Amino acid sequence: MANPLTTPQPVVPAAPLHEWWNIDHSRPFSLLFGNYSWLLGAAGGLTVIWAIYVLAGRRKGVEYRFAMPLAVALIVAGFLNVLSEAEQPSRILYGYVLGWQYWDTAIIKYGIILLPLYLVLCWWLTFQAMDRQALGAAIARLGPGLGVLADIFSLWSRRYSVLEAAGPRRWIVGVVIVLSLFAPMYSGIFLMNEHGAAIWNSPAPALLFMGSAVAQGALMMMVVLPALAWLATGRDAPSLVAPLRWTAVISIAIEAVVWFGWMWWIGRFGSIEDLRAADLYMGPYASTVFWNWTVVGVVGPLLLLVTPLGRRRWAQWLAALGVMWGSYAVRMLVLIGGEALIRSGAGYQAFTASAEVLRYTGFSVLVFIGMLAVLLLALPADRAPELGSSSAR
Amino acid sequence: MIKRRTFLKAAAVGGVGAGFGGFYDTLYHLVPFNDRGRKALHRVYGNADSPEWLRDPATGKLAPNPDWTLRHTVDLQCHSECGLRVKINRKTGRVQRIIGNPYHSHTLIDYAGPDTPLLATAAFPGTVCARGNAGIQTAYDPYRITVPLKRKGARGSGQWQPISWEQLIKEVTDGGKIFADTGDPASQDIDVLGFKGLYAKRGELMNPDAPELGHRTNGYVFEGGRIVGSRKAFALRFNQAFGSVNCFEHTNICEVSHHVATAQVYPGQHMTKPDVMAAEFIIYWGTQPGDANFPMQLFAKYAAQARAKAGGLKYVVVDPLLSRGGVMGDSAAWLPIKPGTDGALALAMIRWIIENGRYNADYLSHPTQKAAEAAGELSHTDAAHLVVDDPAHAAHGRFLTAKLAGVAGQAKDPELDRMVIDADRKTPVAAASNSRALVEYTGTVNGIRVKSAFTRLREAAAAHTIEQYAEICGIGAEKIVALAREFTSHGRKAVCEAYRGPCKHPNGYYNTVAILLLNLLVGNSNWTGGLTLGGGGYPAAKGRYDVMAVPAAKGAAYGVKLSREEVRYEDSSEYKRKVAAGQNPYPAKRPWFPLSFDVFSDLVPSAVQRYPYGVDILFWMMATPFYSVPGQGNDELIAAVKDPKNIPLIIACDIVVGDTSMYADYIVPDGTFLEYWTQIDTMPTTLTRGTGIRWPVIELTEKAPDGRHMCLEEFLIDVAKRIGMPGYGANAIPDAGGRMWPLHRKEDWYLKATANVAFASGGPDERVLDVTAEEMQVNDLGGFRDTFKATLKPEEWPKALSVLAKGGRFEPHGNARQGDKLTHRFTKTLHFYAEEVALTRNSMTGEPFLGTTTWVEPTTALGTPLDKLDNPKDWPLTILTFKGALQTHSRLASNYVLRQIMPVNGIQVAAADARRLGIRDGEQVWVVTPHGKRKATAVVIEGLRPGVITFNVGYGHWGYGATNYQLGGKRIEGDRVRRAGIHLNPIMRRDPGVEQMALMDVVGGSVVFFNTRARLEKDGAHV
Repeated sequence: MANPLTTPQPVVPAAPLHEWWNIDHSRPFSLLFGNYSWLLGAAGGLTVIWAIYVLAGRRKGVEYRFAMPLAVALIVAGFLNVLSEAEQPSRILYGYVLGWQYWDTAIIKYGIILLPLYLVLCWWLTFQAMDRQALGAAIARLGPGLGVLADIFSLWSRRYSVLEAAGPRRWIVGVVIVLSLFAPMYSGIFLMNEHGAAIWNSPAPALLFMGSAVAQGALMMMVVLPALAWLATGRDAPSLVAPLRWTAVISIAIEAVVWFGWMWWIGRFGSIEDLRAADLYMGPYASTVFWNWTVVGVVGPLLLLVTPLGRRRWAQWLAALGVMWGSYAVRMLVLIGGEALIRSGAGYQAFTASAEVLRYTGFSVLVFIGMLAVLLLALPADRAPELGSSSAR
Repeated sequence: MIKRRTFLKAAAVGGVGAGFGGFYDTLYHLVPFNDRGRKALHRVYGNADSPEWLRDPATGKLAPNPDWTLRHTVDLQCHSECGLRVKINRKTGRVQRIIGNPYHSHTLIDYAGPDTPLLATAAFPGTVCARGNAGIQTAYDPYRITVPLKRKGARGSGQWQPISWEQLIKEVTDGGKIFADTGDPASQDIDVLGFKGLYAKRGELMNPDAPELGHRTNGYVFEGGRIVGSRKAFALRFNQAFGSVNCFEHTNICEVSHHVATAQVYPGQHMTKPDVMAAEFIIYWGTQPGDANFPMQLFAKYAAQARAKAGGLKYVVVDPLLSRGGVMGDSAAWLPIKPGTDGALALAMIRWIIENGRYNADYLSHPTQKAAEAAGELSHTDAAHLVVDDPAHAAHGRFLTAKLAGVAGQAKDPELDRMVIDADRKTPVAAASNSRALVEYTGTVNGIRVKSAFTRLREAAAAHTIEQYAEICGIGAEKIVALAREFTSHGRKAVCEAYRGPCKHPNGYYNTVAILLLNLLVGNSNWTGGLTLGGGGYPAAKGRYDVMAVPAAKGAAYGVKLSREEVRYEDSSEYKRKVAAGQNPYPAKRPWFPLSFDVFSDLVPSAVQRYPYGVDILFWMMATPFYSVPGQGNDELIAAVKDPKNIPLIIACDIVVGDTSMYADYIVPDGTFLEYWTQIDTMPTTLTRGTGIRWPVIELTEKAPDGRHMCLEEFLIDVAKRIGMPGYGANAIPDAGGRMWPLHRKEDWYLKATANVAFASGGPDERVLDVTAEEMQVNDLGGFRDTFKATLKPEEWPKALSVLAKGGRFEPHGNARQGDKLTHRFTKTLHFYAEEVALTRNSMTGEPFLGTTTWVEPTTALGTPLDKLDNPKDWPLTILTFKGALQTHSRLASNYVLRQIMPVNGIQVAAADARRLGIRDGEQVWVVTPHGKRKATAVVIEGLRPGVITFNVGYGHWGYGATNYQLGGKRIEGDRVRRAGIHLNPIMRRDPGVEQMALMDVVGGSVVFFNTRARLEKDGAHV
């Protein structure tokens, strides 16, 4: 018999879709963890490409200017999700106040240090990536009181630039790359650290999260950043295509190889516990996998991007939306695949929807929009840099 | 049109404002280190309970946390009887947590030894399953009844009045017009006999024309549901002193045919288990690791660990339903057999094994244990024993004895008074004097035609070809051969393990015997990796005290039981009268079950039908026949039970107003398993000896006026004392020295049973140490000892408290094996041939039962094949029940933590059937049987044999808090969580030939759960 785990099963998707938010808050992770993973993943994908662009000397286009504000908004929204996930959010801070030993061997001690650092770095680079003269002029117009405040918020970025000098730039960009890779992989690594959930105790989720993050980062850079540029400046910007288009294609392909390779590995070598978990993907979640990930997240975007259609903006938008949806789907699939398994082996868990996590999800969307709008407003409106793509079309 | 920057400003203000506003509670509580508005109890542990053990930061040493009492007791959320460590708040007395007792052999593979200090177990507590953890909710169920209830209005009207303990005892004991105050026209003028009135008739025969039925006191019937170990013994002791033989538990709705079959193959034993950890190959028939079975979680742990080893355990699950243990991988496979055809598969394997010489012929050739041990074997069988095989001979069906063979020197032991054919001389000799006999023999001895037990089996197995067997059981012939080959490829380390699946059919006894015989063919008994009958337990009934003895009532209870079990119909006056009158004595009015016991399912219908006699007092002890017996919760039978003319007095003892106790006249409040006592032996699975002690770690029922918490035992004691029964009151329990001790409260009895366990003999590493100061402190035993100080002799307390503190007494796990041999061995003759069965007749048809198992079609009691009863064309599906790991019993509906995980059951439909029938997952369908229909959610699954539908028992309650009732004029609202799901037992198939009887296995006595035909209907059209 063919391995059913790797055989697409075209089932009507409507019925199992509710399972996406069908995880109770009292479980180790809820929908909010999925939100967090997706938001940090998108930010990581975006900033790693930003960093590579900067290393390549591309510091003029919209991708240089608008990637960081978008990343900041994504990270902040992501943080709020994970803080709400914790029953006692203040305990996350204990390590800072009461001593490192309270985190002991917990994997969270890496995230609790590196992720806030990542946010601060993106925030700082949001202003470092601005035109210093324009920033200075804008702050000067605020007057002495508000100007001081603006200087603090921009970390005095009008007075210096770390990206102009080659030496510091390489160091900063190196740190950005490390943290940008850490951010999307961390949620997968975090799951790996949860004992006894076979589907989580694998490096595959971290790789999947990484691949999907880079794909959506590339596509967001391709279509979303020009839109943000227009929102901030009023000037139309062309969508950015090559090499982002092919970066996305390769990342999606890697993601697909990881997923199907993982499923094949489980079918061939997996333990009984692995199979039990993976059985979900061939059973109750088969249609969810097929439509939300295989079709919308992988096959559709690949078809749009590798064919000549990929030069059209509507197709790029469709591909971007598909990849973003697929990226979210793969996180939720991994999450519910692990959550549904009872460690005693007593069947699968199914829960009723929690209004609380849906509410927080909605508010995190608002925070994302608000934060992004704040940062776009902070950009000098009338002296935006020359818009255009630094990429070849 | 809105301007771009205006849009951004609006988005900024709206997004940041509303967005962050939405996270106000997260942000607010993030900063001041609060837990969502309440200050956390501890800055590190938050609001979680503080741990049971505290570590001194200076020394690093652990110490008990004085905030908590820890007590070890035994679970009863299912019959796995796992040890519990119960964490109790010393201030509130409330149970806060239940985990496993590390001293108990059911909760850890390498459990703590008896000399392990309590503190040393802090870091490795035992584990229990989700049901075990959820037991707190059984105890603190808001629907618990804690005071006695008496019905108002008619039986089953759902109106109850709380009454005092004194009123309860007085009314049920003294009797009279005790229902005058109910307002029920049907019963208010009835003069009820009561316990005292019935006891006064203890010298009267139930029926002078049938003296074998015993005394009138048999009119008291104790129908126990889940009551085990010494608690059952306590109830039995009351029955024996009262003069009633009718003390039952629920066994025949569980798996009594399995016990009966086991007892025929392994004389006197009721359960065999594989040495899972050391076995190389196991076939699980009708059960799977991680499902039901004893003990469920330990079985799963053993299997998980054994299969994880390199070259470790491989197993096959034979079951129509693929469940947790049957997942397929390199080490496990699933054979979805047709329900009830396990015997065909086993016999096909037997045929192939014999024809291909794959059985252990040398092992089978030793006719006695002495001969077997001389040859290095650990057990022996009757394979070579000769059986009279001449229908014309008076001894047909009996083993050939020395007397029949005309040989001098009859052995005293009937098991040794058998003849065999010497393998060398080829002449008949007494088994006792032979070391190696012919396994295959057909011939004549002393003019009598005989065959060896093994030859009879070979011929029985040859009645069908393997292809025919394959057709019967739905497993391909090539798979059968492969299974037989694999089973015989592991020497003694291959085991067949059967549980409920094969035996809950009309042919269940024969199915189970066929499976067990596979073990005999490979000779796996007593070998490491083979089959075990376990180490047993430490005797609780005798030793320091004889807690069961009631000398003044010896012999008071005798006669035929209401269920007509353990007695032959042919010995009854009814039979003899019919024969004398020239009538065909068959069929009997209802079946008799001479080979079985605890035929629970037939009690209520027999009582209503007054066969063989009527019932005066029916006592339902945690029993719920209307819910748990197939076909019994029907309107007709319930109406009959509600009529007080049929059964004048019904008393229930329950923790809630249950699905059946709702039809009682009185409900005695009982404790949950956390509140009462039981000494219960561990399961054979562990290979070692052990007895767990369940004792009240909390007590939640109200107190009687003298301070005792109300429960079953106090009820029986008070009734007995009011009547003046021997065995209760001042001079009740004899000790080993003949001194009589009082029985005024349950501890007077159970503490003596505990002392028996503590002082029972055992090896040097089984010794019971005196209780330590630490155990006294952690278990909070000081007050307990002071309260019951006079109950035991002073020298007994240190050891009695020690076993209480450890939750029982357990042989060290290291004693399980001695190299390639198991430590505890069973050495009686293992039987291929069941002489007792062969000499017994079916009371309905008059046909003899079969001493050599063969493939037997499932039929009704009168022999009608089930396919003729319900045409498969009209009823294409067969209903199975299964016990999920989260809801195995009728009484877990109060465990909301389990219901959160699995709130509803639904009817599981095989995916192939669903596709064929056009049924979608989640669709509402009607399950229709010849006796009714129920609406259910279809759950479409792949892991189910097509043609089979199944449901998880434990859902679809109408009592147990599921529906409204009135208590003292106040309306108690039912909870829909407990009503959720379906329960199909009430519409299960009944036998058309016997009034209100479910289909039955008339040999083994099991009620049939797995042979009800059904169809699914949707939107008015059946599919």
